[in-house]
Amino acid sequence: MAFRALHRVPNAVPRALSAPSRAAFFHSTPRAFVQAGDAVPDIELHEDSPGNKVSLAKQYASGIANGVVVGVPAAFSGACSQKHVPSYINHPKVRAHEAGQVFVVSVNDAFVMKAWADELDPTKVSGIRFLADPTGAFTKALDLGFDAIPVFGHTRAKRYALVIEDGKVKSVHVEPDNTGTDVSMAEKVLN
Amino acid sequence: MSDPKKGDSFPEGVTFGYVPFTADKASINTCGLPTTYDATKEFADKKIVLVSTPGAFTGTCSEKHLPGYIENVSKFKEKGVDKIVVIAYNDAFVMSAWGKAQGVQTDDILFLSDTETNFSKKFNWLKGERTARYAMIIENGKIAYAEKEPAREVTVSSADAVLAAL
Repeated sequence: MAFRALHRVPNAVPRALSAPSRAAFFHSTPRAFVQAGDAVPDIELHEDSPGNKVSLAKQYASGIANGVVVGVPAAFSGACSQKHVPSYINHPKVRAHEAGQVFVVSVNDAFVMKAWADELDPTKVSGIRFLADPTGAFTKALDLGFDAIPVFGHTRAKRYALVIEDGKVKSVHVEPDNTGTDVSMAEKVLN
Repeated sequence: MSDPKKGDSFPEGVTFGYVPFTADKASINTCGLPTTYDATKEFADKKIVLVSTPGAFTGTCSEKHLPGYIENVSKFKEKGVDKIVVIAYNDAFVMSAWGKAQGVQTDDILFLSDTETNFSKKFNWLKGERTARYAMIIENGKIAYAEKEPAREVTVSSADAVLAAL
């Protein structure tokens, strides 16, 4: 396999570091902590129901190429519902639709994400879309998971925000303690 | 891993994830912190109805299965049931929110998380990665009724079926 990779020059190298040609030929994205300049992972997420599949890589490639991907450890949990996601829903730039397309992603299933979205932004005034990463594959591809097994029973996403520009990650804001509400809040990310 | 039967003892060491409902966090956008609910200990001296649903906030569970229990809480209490415990594979935050969304504000009905489906796994009463739809009556630590839905409809695990068995 590695032999073949050496003989073909990939058209678009997705990553600047660690085994770029392998990434182009295997289905699973190699796991490496997301950095500025990285592509957005092309991994299936669910919106509203498990049948509705959305890839953020494709969303940013075909639609609005800018925005923010907001990761949260758990839908319906305190900090996520009261501080982190509302900071985006209420941010003036988001309200004025000047922040591009904002997605909230969590390792929950699509039913739960939809119910949560209906609670936090029932009239969809913010334009924020809530996506489910039910198996944690998207989170894993960014290497932004943490072991939450005692509380949740599996790996969850750290609290993070990725600013996307021209379909690529422009800046990475990950809470250093995984679940705090500081560097990934809208005030710090969007200003 | 066999089906639970009438007369079996409720398994040892069963715990569920639990975010208790408190009046100061009644809104669905707030929540308490998750705790561990020691089911084996709590069930040892009570009459419990345990209902398992495949998923919080999903159609059948929210519209057809759960309401029967919520509407008939007083009937269950008349038959000596101390608590109705609803479980699913979802985490404790989601279960707490689901309970609030269903309008449950008392601790007559508890919404608990079968973390990693550890409890349902014991009987292999699973539906893929979720718990299957089933209901049990546990009296003082012994299983008095345990029925799993054979198909998609809510029959043997419905509130009516369990009331009839009490």
